[in-house]
Amino acid sequence: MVQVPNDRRYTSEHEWAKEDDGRILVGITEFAQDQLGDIVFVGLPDPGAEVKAGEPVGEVESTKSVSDVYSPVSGRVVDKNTEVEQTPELVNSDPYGRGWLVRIEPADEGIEQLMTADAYSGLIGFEQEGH
Amino acid sequence: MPAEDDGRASPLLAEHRRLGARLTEFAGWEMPLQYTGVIAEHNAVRTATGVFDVSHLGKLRVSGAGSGEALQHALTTDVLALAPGRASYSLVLTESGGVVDDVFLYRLAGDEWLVVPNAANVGSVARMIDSSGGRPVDEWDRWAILAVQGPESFDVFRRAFPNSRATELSLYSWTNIDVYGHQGLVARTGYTGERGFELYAPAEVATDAFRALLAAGARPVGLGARDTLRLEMGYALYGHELRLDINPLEAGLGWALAWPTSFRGADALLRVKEAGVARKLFGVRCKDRGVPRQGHEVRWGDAKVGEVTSGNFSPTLGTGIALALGPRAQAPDPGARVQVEARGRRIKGDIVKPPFIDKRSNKTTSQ
Repeated sequence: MVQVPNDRRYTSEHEWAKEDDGRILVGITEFAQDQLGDIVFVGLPDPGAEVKAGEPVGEVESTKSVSDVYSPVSGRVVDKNTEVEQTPELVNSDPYGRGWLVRIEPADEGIEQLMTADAYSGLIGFEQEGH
Repeated sequence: MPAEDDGRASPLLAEHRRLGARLTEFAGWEMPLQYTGVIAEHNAVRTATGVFDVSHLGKLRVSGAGSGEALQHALTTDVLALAPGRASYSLVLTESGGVVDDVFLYRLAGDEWLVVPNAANVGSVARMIDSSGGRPVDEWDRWAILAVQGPESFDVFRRAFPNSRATELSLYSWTNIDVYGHQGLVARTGYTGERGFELYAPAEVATDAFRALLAAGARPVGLGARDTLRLEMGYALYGHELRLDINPLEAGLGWALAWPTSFRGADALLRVKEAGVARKLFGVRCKDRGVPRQGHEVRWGDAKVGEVTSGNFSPTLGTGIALALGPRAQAPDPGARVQVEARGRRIKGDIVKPPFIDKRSNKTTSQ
């Protein structure tokens, strides 16, 4: 069973968002990395980039396909994970930790409007049954 | 909808499910894309041994008087010169020289042949053989096809089938094999660049054969790694380098054309040869991070010099690699520095002559 930690919120596009000292840390879920397979490339915006909730904030590419990563919140990218750009497999091995992607200074809203871990678990259970 | 209901399922489907494979639909067949991960499976084939289920490949038996002559017309290699016990890569072309498919041809006996097309092309290849005067019989459910590939494949195969003489075969040869009391066929063929075998196991004993190979040390490998393995070798794939609108001279497959046998498409290709080939296939090895994909443009300076036909990540090299097709007159030479336009980004790369990895050391020692 894939992990869905309770200490963060989720989107229906399989990103996670976690409060981190007033900023929002963003990554993709364990379910997402498992569906993508071996990740071989991560492309992230440079700090300073403005992003809107629901719009691309980077791309993650596996041996099979390329996927956009959608920003869970609107705001400004203040940091990106250069380690994961050099070592993309961190997204596979540690999606909720060292495989984080960007840190965003939110424009206004926080992450409370996103899905809870329970709600997200329900979503991926549904998607797996649909397989 | 499970493939069982469509009537096209590998006899090993339950085995793949048991092993936790991620399945994907492939030309109406539900086949394993991967078991644990493409990269680990790829590396297993390069460093040890993998076993692929490729039972979705076509199995067309052509037999009877005149079957050789019909295939000589439908296929581009010198079919009649192939001795029983031998196998050959070959192409099926249209009259205008477009590629319908690539196939493996096995001469089973004087007047008996097995033609193995890609899964998606069984119907069109059968029609081409038919219109050349052959009578193909589709034996799709009679065989499982297991590709056993890798530097340790001889040891693995010997352990799984100790009474077989498969390991004495030369490259592109085949022999009969007893598979748990049923007669199968084993050939020294493959699509990975590694030494190995393809085993045609009767469906009734396919599971036993598959389990024996796993127990002998082969790792199950899905079709995801089959693609990265063939791309590292620069092997053409139907739908990518092999298409109706790319002729085999452009695709670098002139070696598979047995002039002057009068195969279908020969006249058109002779005219192409006289006029000069318009396009050329070349390789790109990326230096930046990023993965080239089919349809991406290749630029050399300011000029577009080609379009990617196949691109992926090379697990062996740790970089993106691509085959690309472009006008011969502008084709960059090996060593030229180019860029691949990938979704708004530019990936820097060098032109190389495929294969992307050097397997010659293997060939001299083991093939």
